[in-house]
Amino acid sequence: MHPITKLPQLEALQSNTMIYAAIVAIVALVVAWLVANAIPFEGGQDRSYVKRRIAFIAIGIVAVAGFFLYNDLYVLDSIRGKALQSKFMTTNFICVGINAGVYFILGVIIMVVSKFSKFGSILNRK
Amino acid sequence: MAKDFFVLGIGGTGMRCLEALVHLCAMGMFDDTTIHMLAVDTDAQNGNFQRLRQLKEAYCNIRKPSDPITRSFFSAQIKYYEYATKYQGAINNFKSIFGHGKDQIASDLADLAFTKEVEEFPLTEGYRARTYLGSMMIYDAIVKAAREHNKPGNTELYKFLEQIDNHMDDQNKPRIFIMGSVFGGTGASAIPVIPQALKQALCQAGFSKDALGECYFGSTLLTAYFTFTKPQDPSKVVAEADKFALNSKIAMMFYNDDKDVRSTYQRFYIMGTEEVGDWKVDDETSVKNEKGKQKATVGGSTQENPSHYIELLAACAARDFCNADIEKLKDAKDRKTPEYLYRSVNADGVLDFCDFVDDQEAKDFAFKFGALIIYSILANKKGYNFSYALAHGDQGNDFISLKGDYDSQVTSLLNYFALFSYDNIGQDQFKDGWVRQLDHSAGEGKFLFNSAMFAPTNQSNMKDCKWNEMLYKKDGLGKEHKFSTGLGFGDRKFDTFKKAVNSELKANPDIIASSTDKMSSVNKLVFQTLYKLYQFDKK
Repeated sequence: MHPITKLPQLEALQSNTMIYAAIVAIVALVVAWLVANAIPFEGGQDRSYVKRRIAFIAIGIVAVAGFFLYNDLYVLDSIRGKALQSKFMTTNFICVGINAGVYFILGVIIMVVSKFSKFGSILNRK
Repeated sequence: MAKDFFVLGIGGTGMRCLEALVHLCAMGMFDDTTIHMLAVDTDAQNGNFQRLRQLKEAYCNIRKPSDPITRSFFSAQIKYYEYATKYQGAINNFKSIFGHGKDQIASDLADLAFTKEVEEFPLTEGYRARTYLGSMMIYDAIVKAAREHNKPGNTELYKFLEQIDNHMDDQNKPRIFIMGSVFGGTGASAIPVIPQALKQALCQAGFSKDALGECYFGSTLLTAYFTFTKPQDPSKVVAEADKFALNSKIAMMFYNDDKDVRSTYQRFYIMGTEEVGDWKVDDETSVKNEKGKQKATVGGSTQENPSHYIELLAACAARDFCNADIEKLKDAKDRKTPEYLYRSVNADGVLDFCDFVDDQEAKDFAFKFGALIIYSILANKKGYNFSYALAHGDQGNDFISLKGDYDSQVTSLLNYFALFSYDNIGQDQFKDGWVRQLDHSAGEGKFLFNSAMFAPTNQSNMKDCKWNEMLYKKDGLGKEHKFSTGLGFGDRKFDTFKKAVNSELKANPDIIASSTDKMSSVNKLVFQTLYKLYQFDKK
C-alpha cells in the first residue's frame, strides 16, 4: 500500500474506507443468507432458527471486527504521522458503525420483508 | 362414479385382515369408494378387535365425513359397524344357549354330535377351532341379533343390513367380501354360513330382498400361516396350532364339495404360506410387545397377535373382488360354481408388489404404500412432526396452518401413524406398528421395501435413516425412485420435503384455502408432493 503522507490523500482514503465498510457489510449479509439457507428446517417444534440466528450474529461480528482489525493493523501502518493516524482511527470507528448498521439494520429489514424464507425465520415471527 | 363395497371381518384373523384393509384405504388404494366394514367376533374384548377399533377411530377422524375422494391418502370413506355375540353370564355355552335338557330327543342328538367338553366350554372367547359347533352358533347368533335388532349391541348389525338392502336396487348389485381364516375358530365357522345367515338376517330384520339372489359374495380361504404354543386351559377345549394345517386341508375339501357354499359364493381367494411353523406369534409378541413376553391365550384382551403380510394379501383380494368384472361374477353365479384364484410368490420367498396387485397397478401400489410410510415418518409426533407444523403454523415459517378446528384431525393423524408405522414408548423406544410387523413376518430382506427402513428402534436412529434414498430395494420396482437433499448442513430430508410442499402449494394455491376439509387437502398435498419428489411423475 502506498504511504499516506498528506491530508488530501487521507481524506480520499477515509471516503473509500467508509464505502468499503458498507460493501463488507453487504458481502457479509450475502454470506449470512447463504449460511441460513444451508441450515435445514428440522420439523416438529423447530428450533433451527436459533442456529441461523447464531450464524447471523457471528458473521456480523466477524465482518465488523475483521474490517476494524484490517484497518487498524494493516492500513494504519501506511499512514505517516500521528495526527493523520488519529484522524483515520476516528474514521475506523465510524466504519464499525457503518458496517454494523448496514449489516444488522439491512439484515432485519430483509428478514421482515422475506419472512417466509429461512433468512426470515431468524426473527422467529409467527 | 362412487361405489359402495361391503366387507366382513370375522374372528381374530378377520380383524387383522380388516386392519390391513384400513391401511390399504389409507394408502389411497380404494379411491372413490365407500367401504361398509362389519367386524364380527365372539369376543368384544379381543385384543385384535380393540386394535381395529382404535385404528378405525383414527382413520375416520382424520377426514370429515364427505364424499370419497381420489388420488390422495385416506381417500376411501369407511363406515364401520361391529357385532359381537353375547355369550355372557350363565348363558355362555352350547348347553345353556340351546336349552339342553328341555327337549330330550334334541338333547340326545346333540350329545351324539358333541362331546361333553364341547357342549360345556364357555364361548366367551370364541369357538376354539370347533367349527362344527361354531357354524351353527354364529348363524344362530346373527339371525337372532337381526330379529332383536332394537336391543343394544345389535343396532350396528341392523344398520349394516340396511345398507345392503338399500344398495340392492343399484345398477351394480352389492358385493360382499368375507375375510377370516379357514383353520381357526370363529372365522372358519362363519365363512361357510355367512351368505345364508345374511339372507336370513335381512329377512328377520324386516327387509324383503333376497341377499343370495341380489348380492355377489367373495371370500378369502386363508389357510394356516401362523402357530403358537399350546395354551393351558382347564376346560381342555383349546385351539391347537399343530392342528391348523389339518384343519385347513379339511376346510378346503369342504369348500370344494359343499353345494351350498359353491352356490352362494362367486369367488374364493386361496392363500397361505408354505411352512406353517415359520411365524410363531408368541415369539413375535415376546420380542415386540411392550408388555413383555406374552404367552399364547385362547382369547380375551391379551390376544393381540402381530400382523402378517398375508393379511395384506387378503385385503388386496378384497380390492380385487371390489373391482372384479361384473360379467365374470354373473357367470359364476349363474353356473353356481365359484372361481378359485391363487397366486404364487418367488421360490426364494421374496415378495414383490405385483404379488399383491395386477402388474399394471404394481407401480401405483409401490408409490402409494411407500409414500404412506414416508408420511408416517414425517408426521410422527416425536420426529419431524409435520403435523405439529400443521396444528401450530410453526417451523419459523408461515407454513400451512390448521389451527383451531383441525387439532383433533391432526391428533388422529398422529394416532393413525402410531398404529401404522411406529409409536414412541418409554425411553425413546419404538413400538412396532403394522408395517413393521409385516416386514418381520416376511423375514429379513423379503418384504416389499428395504428392510433398513424398519431397522431404527429409536428417534435418533431414525434421524440417521436415509429414507430419501433407500425406501425401495436396490433391485426391482422402485429402485430408481429416490430424491437427493442437495448441499447444506445436517439432516436435510425434511427440509427438502418442505421445500417441495411449498412449491406444490405455489402451483396449487387454492388446494388448502378453498377446501372445506383442510386436513384432507393437506393429505392430498403431501400425496402430490411425494409423487413428484420420488419422481413417479417421470416415465
